[in-house]
Amino acid sequence: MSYLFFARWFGLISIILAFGILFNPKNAREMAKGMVHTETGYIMGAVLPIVFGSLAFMHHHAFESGPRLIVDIIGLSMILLGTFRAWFPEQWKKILGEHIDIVPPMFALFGMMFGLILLYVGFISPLIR
Amino acid sequence: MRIAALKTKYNKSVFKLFWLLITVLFLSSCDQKLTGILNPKGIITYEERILLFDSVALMLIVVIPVIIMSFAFIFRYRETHCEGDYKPNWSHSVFLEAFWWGIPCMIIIALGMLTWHYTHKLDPYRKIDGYPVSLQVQVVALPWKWLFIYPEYNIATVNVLKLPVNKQVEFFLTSDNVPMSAFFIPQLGSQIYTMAGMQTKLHLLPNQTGTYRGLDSQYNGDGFSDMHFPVDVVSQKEMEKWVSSVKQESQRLDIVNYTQLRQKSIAHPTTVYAGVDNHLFHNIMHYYMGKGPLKFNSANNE
Repeated sequence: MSYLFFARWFGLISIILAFGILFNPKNAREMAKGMVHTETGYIMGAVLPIVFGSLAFMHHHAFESGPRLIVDIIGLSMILLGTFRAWFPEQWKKILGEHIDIVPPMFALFGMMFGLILLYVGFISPLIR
Repeated sequence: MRIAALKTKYNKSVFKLFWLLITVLFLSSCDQKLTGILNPKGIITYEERILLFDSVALMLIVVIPVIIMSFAFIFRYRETHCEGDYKPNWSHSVFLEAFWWGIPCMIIIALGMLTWHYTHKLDPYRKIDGYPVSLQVQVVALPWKWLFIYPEYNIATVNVLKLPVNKQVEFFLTSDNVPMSAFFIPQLGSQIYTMAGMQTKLHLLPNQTGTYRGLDSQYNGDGFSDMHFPVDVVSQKEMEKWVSSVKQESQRLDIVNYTQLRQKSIAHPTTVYAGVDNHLFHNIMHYYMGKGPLKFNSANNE
């Protein structure tokens, strides 16, 4: 799996999920509330980011400049977020509980931004390089 | 009622057809008609296109979500919205402020780093790494024509430029008897200004044969719009053949011919000269630096 494959695959996932959350905020808020108290939060907050982040980070090569760097940074951020959730569950629950109203729109915004940049890296950038 | 409804439906169809035609009209220009930086034919332009696309992408990751979210908010808070999430006393969130100031700051830092990197890498004065300079061309902006001197070959041309493919070319530029001009071959690379009494430098490396458009991109008077020239990028063999053919010409760039070139003329025809004074370019600059009248060494003019 190359970094291009990851960029295309994860970019598409991010965009689809971001749109889903953006246009269904009520549902997303209920889901976020559920995440604080159930094991879904552990899977969504720790397992998946660590799995996806490590997959992206597997293609890291000394942070060389270029589109690969974006995949490195996104992968590293996901690993850090997942690790924080896994190692400090109480702090994670506290933060999520305090900002439960703005977590879904923030997730949608970041999902769109990451998705767009990953789609650019995956589809357009190889054409011009 | 039925007729009115049909009319409305008909109008909508015509309106849709109109927009379809407009879209097709704009897209029709996309087929192999890309010019300039979007259709690069040189190493420098390839890099410039990467910078352009990366910068636009970095900016669009903010612009597109903002546009989409604007529509999402309109959709969410439409007339039928009946959720009790109205918060009249809400005014501030440090968490949100950190996000919507932090993200643009990070993007500006990324854009700054990208631009800094490419600005130094694509500096027109900097030689292109990995390729030796194979040809030097002296360029003089005249009213309203371009004079190209090939000192190595002792030939000169007006309003036509011939370059070898895959060879780094070093340009030295100045102007004579014309306000500041700008030398620009969009498909090959950077634009550079020409000024009287000063020398500017430019390095280009064409990597595909063909004929490209060169132009003056700085308004400098009546003949500005005709101050363009074809740039023929050819193989080394064809280049040598062309140089030999120019050397066969009887016309030489002597003081009489150069004095005529200095006079204003619009849409000057393409001209080639079999001989030129090797010091002409520097003498033009010295003239504007107050070092006496324009000297012309006829001994070199062979």
